[in-house]
Amino acid sequence: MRDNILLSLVVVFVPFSLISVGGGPSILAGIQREAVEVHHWLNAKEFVDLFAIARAVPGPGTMLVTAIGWHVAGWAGALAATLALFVPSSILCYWVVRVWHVHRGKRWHAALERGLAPIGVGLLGAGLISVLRIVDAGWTGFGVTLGAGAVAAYSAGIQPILILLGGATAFLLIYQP
Amino acid sequence: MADEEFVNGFTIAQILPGANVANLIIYVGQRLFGPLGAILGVSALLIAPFFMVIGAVVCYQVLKSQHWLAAAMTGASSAAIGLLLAMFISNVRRIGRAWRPLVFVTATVIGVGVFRWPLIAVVAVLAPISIGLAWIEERH
Repeated sequence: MRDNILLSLVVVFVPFSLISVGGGPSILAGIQREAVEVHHWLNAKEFVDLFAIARAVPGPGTMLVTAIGWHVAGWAGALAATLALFVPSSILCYWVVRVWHVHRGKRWHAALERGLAPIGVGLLGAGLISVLRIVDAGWTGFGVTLGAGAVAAYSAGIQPILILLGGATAFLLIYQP
Repeated sequence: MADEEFVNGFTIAQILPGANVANLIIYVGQRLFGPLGAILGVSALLIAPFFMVIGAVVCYQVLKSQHWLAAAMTGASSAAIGLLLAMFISNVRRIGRAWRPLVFVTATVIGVGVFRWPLIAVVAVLAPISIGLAWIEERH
């Protein structure tokens, strides 16, 4: 049973590793669908909570998969999920970097860059919708989301954890008199 | 490493799948120190966050039944979604007003976000078309 869980973590995350164009957040919608709806590794509330935790901790936000792996199968799960997400894309990147400079400035570079960028941005938008759909935080939550977005947009370089702490504090003040 | 070389790496890191920061470290590590540099760089990037994420999740699991934590986590999640929103808006603005990118952004958002079709299938269909059209544009 345990081996099966580790195997399914790997089978689910390896393809996402290779398709995360535009960076980690682009696969959020896909991970949410697989982890919550297909495999029931965790419920919607837990998923959104782990998403926030992974964002609060320094390092790539994709460490969300580490949190999911830990949640379903402890140390082995965390390790399997992390390797599944970072090793395939890293190997691909290493290989491309080695051949890339030989073909520097070629037309297909520009085509690849300009063709993939909108897909990456679209995936980011889809990820946004997928977490908005399950966060279940009411109008207060939506207000916090807009406020946090505005702060992040207009104060470049602010630590994400400060914005997250701000959101948490707002909710504590409102719901914990 | 020259500035131009670094910028080049930055572009590669963003185009390729994988966390941008991890890819950038692979690029720089590989250029300066070879394969070992790339491996050590990515390991160094991930090791501390790996344990920190797990530590945070353990705290979360221990305290999960406390009502105040549930409220605080919902607030933090809402704020984290706000960060995503800001990232999405700045990306859309960077893409500009040309029709092709905007069509593909919209199609991806609708396919994956609204209709909730499998992400990998949507990318497998849209990415080649988008790259093909960009290839044609490059000729002009």
